[in-house]
Amino acid sequence: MSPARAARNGPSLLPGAASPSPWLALAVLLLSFLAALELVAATAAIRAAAAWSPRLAGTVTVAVGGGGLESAEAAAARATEILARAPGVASISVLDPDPADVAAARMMGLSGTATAGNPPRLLATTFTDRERISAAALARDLRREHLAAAVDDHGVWTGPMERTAVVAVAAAVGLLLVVITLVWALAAAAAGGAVRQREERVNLLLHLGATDPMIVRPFRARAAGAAAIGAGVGAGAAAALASAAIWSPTVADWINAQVTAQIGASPSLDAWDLAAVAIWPPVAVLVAALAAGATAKARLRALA
Amino acid sequence: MSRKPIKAVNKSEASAPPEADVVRLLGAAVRIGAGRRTGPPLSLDLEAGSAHVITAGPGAGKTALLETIALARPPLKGAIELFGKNLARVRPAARHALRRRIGVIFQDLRLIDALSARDNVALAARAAGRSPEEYDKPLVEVLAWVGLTRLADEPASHLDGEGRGRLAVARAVINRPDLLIADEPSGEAVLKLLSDLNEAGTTMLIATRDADLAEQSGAEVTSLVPAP
Repeated sequence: MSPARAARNGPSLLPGAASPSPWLALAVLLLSFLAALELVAATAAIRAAAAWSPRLAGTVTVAVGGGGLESAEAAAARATEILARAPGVASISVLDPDPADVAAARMMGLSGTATAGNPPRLLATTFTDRERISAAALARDLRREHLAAAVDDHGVWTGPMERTAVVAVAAAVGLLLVVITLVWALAAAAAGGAVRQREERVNLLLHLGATDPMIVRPFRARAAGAAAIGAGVGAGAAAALASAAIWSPTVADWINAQVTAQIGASPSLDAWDLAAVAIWPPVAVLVAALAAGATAKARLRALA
Repeated sequence: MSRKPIKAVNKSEASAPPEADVVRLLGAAVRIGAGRRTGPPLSLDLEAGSAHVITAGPGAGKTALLETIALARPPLKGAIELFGKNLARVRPAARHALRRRIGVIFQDLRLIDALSARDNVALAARAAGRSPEEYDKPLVEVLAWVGLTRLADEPASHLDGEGRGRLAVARAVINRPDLLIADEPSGEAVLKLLSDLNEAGTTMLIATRDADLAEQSGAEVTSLVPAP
C-alpha cells in the first residue's frame, strides 16, 4: 500500500498478514504441477477412449480363408452375402489384399491351413446402432456355411484403451484428492502460524471490537494469494510440458514410452487437453482460502 | 504525589437518563491467571453514569475480573450481565458488538510502539468498523483533549510514561464507550482524565491496589478478598 493511501485509509489492522506466504506458494507450486499434469493426462485418456472406443466397437474385421477348391476371393464373396443378411450390418467392404493380411488373420485366430498358400481376405464390417449382432454369432453363421473364418470385434484394442482411461481417471481423482488434502493442510498450517505470530495484535484487536471477519480476512487473503501464485506457476509449467509433448516429437516419444510402461497404453495429447489445466488454480485458491479461514477462525475462538 | 481523585458522579446528577445496569455481577468468580486459582465470588451492580472501584492486593484477581467483564474470558461461576445481556448467552460471533461499547485501559497499556500516537487511536476506531471519514474529526478532538496534539505523529515508543497513559485513555474513548474499564490506572494526568470522563457521565469500572486512591475517589468501592 502506498504511504498516501495508507494515510488515507488509516493504520492497517494486521500489517503484512495479507502478504502471500512464500513457502506456501512454493509448496502449492510443486503440488499444482503434479495435479495439472494428472488432469491433462486424464483428459487425454478420456478423450481418446471416448473417440476411439465407439468407432472400433461399431465395426468388426472378418478374416476369410479359402478351402478345398474355393479361392479366398470366392470365400470372401460368399462371406459378404452371409454377412449382408445378418441383423444390424450396415456395410461390408473387402479390403485390398496386403502381405500383412496373413499375419493379421493368424492373430485373429484363423488356422494355419486356411492361410497357407492362399492368402486370406479381410472384410471390414460396420454396424448400425440398433440390433447389432455379436462377433461370436457372426463367426458361427460363417462357419455354419463351411467358411474358414475368424471375426475380430477389436476388443484387443478397445479393452486397453478403456482400461487406460479408467486407470488415468482413477489416478487423477486419487491424486487430486491427495493434493487437495495437502493444500488444505499446508494452508491451515500457514494460517495457524501467521495468527500465532500476531497473537498479541489479534488479541488487542478483539478487545477493541474487531469482528471475526475483519481479522480472518487478511489471513485468508494471504493463503489465497500464495495459492494463486503457486497454482498459476505450477499449472503453467505443467501446461508448458504438455505443450512440448504435443508439438515436440522427441518429448512426445519420451512421454509415450514412460506412460506406456506404466499403464500399458498412451493416449496422444491434444491442444484441447491443455484446457483441463485451467480448472486447477481456482480449485487450489478456493481450498487454500477455506482452510486458512477455518483455521484463523478456530484460533480466534481459542483466543476470545 | 498529589493527584486528583476520580470524582464519582451521583446517579441522580448524571446527565444521561438512567437505564439498565451497565454491569451486573451475580456471584461471579473468575479464574486467576492461567492456573487453577479462582477469585472470590463477587456481586455488584454498576449503573449507567456511575463509577466503581475494585481494590485488592496483587494476585487477588482484579485483572482477571476486568478481563472477564471485557469478554476476554468466561466466568467460572455465577453470571455476568453486560448492558442487560448475560455473557454466557452471547454468541462468540456477537461479542464484538458488546466489546465496541467498552473502552479498556490495560494495566500494561498495550500500545503499539511502532505506530504513531494518532494511528494507535485510529486503530481502535478502525477495529470498531469506522471509516477514516467517520473518525478523523473525533480523533483530532480526542488527541487535543488528552493533550497529545503536538505529539500526534510521534511513535508511541517516543512518548514518556505520562504521554503513554494519556494515549491509552484516548484510544479507550475514541469510540465513545458506554463503559470504561481501567486496570491499575496511574499518573496524575490519567486520573484527571478519568475523573473528567466520569463527570461527563461515562460509566467507569476501575481496579487498583491503591487503597488511598479508592478511598479518595468517592466512588463505590469493593474490596476483593482472595479466596482461601
